[in-house]
Amino acid sequence: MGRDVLGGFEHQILLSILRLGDDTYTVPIVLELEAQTGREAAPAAVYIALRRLEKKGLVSSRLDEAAGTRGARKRRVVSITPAGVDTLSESRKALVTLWDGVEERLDATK
Amino acid sequence: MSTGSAPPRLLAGVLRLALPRRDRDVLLADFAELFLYRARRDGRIRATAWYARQVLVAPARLLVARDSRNVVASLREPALRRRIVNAPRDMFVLETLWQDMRFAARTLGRSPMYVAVVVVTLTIGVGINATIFTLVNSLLLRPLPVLAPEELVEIYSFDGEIGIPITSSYPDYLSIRESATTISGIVGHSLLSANLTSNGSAEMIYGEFVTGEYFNLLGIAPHLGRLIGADDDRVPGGHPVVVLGHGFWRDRYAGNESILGEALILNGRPYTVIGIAPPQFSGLVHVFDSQLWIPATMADGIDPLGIQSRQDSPGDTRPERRGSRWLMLKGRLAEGMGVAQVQAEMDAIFSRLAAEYPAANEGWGSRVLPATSVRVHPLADGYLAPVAALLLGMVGLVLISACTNIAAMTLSRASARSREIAVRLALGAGKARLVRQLLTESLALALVGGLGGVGLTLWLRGLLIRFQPPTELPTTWSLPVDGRVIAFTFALSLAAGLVFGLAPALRGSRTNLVAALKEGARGTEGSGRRLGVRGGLVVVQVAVCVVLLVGAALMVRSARSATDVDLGFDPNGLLTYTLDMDLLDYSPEDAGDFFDAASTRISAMPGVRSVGRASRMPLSMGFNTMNIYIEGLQVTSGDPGTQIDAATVDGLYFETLGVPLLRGRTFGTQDTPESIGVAVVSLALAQSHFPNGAVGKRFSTGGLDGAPYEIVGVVGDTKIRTVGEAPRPYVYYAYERSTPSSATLAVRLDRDTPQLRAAVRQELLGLEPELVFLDDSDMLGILSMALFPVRFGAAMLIGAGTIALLLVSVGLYGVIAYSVARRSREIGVRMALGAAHADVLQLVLRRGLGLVAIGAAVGGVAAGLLSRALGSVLYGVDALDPLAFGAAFLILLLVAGLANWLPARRAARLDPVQALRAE
Repeated sequence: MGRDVLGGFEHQILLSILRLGDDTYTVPIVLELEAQTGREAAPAAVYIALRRLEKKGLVSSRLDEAAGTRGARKRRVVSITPAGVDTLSESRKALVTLWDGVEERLDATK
Repeated sequence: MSTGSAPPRLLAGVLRLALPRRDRDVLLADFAELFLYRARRDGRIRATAWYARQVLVAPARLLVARDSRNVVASLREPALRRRIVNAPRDMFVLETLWQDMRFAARTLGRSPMYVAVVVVTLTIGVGINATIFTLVNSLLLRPLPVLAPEELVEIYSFDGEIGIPITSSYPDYLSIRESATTISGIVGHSLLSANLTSNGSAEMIYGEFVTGEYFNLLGIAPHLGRLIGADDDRVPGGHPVVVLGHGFWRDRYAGNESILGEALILNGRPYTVIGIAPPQFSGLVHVFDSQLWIPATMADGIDPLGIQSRQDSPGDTRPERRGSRWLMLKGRLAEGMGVAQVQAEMDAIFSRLAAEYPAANEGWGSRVLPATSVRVHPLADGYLAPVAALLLGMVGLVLISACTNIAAMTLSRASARSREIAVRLALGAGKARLVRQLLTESLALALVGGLGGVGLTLWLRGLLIRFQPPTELPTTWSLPVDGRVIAFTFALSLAAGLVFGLAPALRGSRTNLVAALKEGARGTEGSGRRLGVRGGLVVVQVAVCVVLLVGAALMVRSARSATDVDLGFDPNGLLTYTLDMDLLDYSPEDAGDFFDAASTRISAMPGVRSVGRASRMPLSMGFNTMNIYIEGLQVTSGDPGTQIDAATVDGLYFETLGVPLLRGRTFGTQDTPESIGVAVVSLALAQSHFPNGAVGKRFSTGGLDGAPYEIVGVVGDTKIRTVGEAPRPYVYYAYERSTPSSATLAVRLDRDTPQLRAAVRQELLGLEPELVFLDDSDMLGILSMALFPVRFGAAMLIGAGTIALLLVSVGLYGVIAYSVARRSREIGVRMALGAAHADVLQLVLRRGLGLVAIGAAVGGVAAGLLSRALGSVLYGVDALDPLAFGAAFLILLLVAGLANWLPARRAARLDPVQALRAE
């Protein structure tokens, strides 16, 4: 993994895509983020983060003309790339290692 | 799907502008979908609030994301870098702006007087500017309400001899329509006035003659029925149809649809109503509200108004005569064509016409102009544009004066706040941030002032609308406050906010930390430079004020002396009745008999001194020119002759108006249709063209072989077209020799009373009960129309001058009072050391009056340079009129003296003990 660490928000978005499955788009991601974090997510922020992730090669996107259930409107659908999956699992590994043995302390300080 | 599920269109529109082009539609759809989701979950109001928040936040986010790429690359510190890139809530620009706004509100809230004075001053300054802009906008800037006005060009006939672009003839219009390829279509139009009779009563109405393509080419669709089309404009005199203006239809016929198919009696002939025009269309003449439209081929039974010229040419009716020029032409550019191409083609067409019809078209060329550059007529525009510039410049000066006051106040506030600013600087606030903070305060005030300005504009507009030009023509003098006006107002207030905020802000941020913190709010004059800047502002204000006061004084003098200008005749107690007997189907002979009888009977009435007859009265609308060929002078076959204004009058006309006979005789019974043509000329014509005496000389009107006229008399000059003009050559022909069916009766009264007026009118109706009065007025009415510009200008300048005077006195008072307050300690010391009241008074007054003197000198010079611009509306007053300048200086001195004396007196009454103890 390069020097490009995964930002917190980007991390959350990648996880959301993973949860939602491939070929998802901004709206479900926003709703998923809000549902899971309990905080309002701005669509523009999600859009910007997706573009950034795409630039890093962690997600791929394409314009989908006729997707969805309500008529044919354009969407930019995104999927996580193998590199994205790798980055996530590396990041998870690192986090799990770091968490190892400190969870009790977390509880103890409560 | 109901509209309740879509985001508000306005917000969506704003958002659309802010989104990056690449995924604009995608993002908009995403936002809409989320809106729908939220509307279902939280209700429409909360969803709208959410959407509005996104509109505010998304652009900034996207902007930051774009810029931060570069910023990020330059950042070494990973933590900070992450923070900037990832933290979605870091709204740098908006957040600090919000902070600044809140801070500004708090600071301003602590000085409500300052806020009130600034807002009121700005409201006045911006409001009157926006009002004048509204006027200029509606007169000069608003495009015609037609399809693609930018594609239209004006095509004028151009007489090389007199050098002014004028109207064209109907046959010329047809020739252009047939052969022109650089334009995709051409329309002709002209104002008209007609007499509408119904149920025995008659009224004058005004409309437009239009050619068949008019409505189609302009893209106007009917409100009801149909509009005039190509088939309604083919046979001269053969299409008695009329389209009504929407306002006229609504007011006169209560919007009754059954009027369609009915006949209106216009000048005695029935015209079938075929349709109603849409409400937003009032014709092609600016400000004029057309009441109806009639095919141009009907322009014989009804007469056109406006600029006309006539040369003898064959044809029974006006639309058939090539020498009768009365139509304004507008063409629509063909695909890919420009004004230059049209001009080139018109040049070719006009020279062909001149070759084919030398009698009517020799010497005539064309002039093509983009329609957007022409408002009323190139001639009138040349007059309107400087007046508009003058008005805007004048109120611009008032705004400068207002800004100066505010800048002075803000400056003194900034120096009072220097301690606060120094503390903030010492605590590490950036200078840029401070400037922005101070500017935010100014701009916030400017915005509030702008709002006030819009309010004031709406109110002043109501006053202006009441200042209707004294004309019977229906006008659309509605002065709409449209988007352009609102944009202008806010742009102006923001500019003003920058102007009065920038200097104090920069100065404030440059505060010398140590000095400011040490000095505190000690009451000394300080460096003295501060008053220097403020004093400089007062000098500017006084100068501006002098310019406006001089302008106002000149206009007042002009308006007063315009009524004293020697018109060449006496306008008092002179009634005018314009009658057209043709409308009542009188033969020319019967009409002549009627006018003879009317003259005889009215002159026999007690209280009537004399009655004269004329084809046109001096200073009335429109004018009539004829080409004359002077015997022994310049007559070759191609010579176009000399164009001279002309009227046909009877022998009693001169006596009735009071125009003196200088040499020879006027007309009399010896002049009959059988006798040789006779003419009376004005002194100006006699002097310019007949240096060896005019009486007995001859000229003709139709080239070498034209009918000859002998000059039998020379009369004094009168004003013909405008009150301000130089003596104009004028030819009078004899009514006794011709029998036109329309004329203006001029009735000179011993004393003008309403009873006498009614009696004269009754006498005329006694002769002919169905008499049609095309115009029932008096010479003073005609004169007041001619003097409208100067009176309007005077009223405006007096208003602006008064406001400027008010501002200057407030400004001066502020500067002197401030100076007195700062120097109270010094004054206290002086008094303690034995200075008398008078000494203190003198000390303070000298400073203030010194500023006024400098300002007055600067303003006097500027006014001397600028007053020449008023030249065209000054009657009988020199641009450097000493009385006007003197009055302006005197008023300024009085007001400035008072504004200066009040704080000076307070200084003189200062208790030295108090003043020193306050330290």
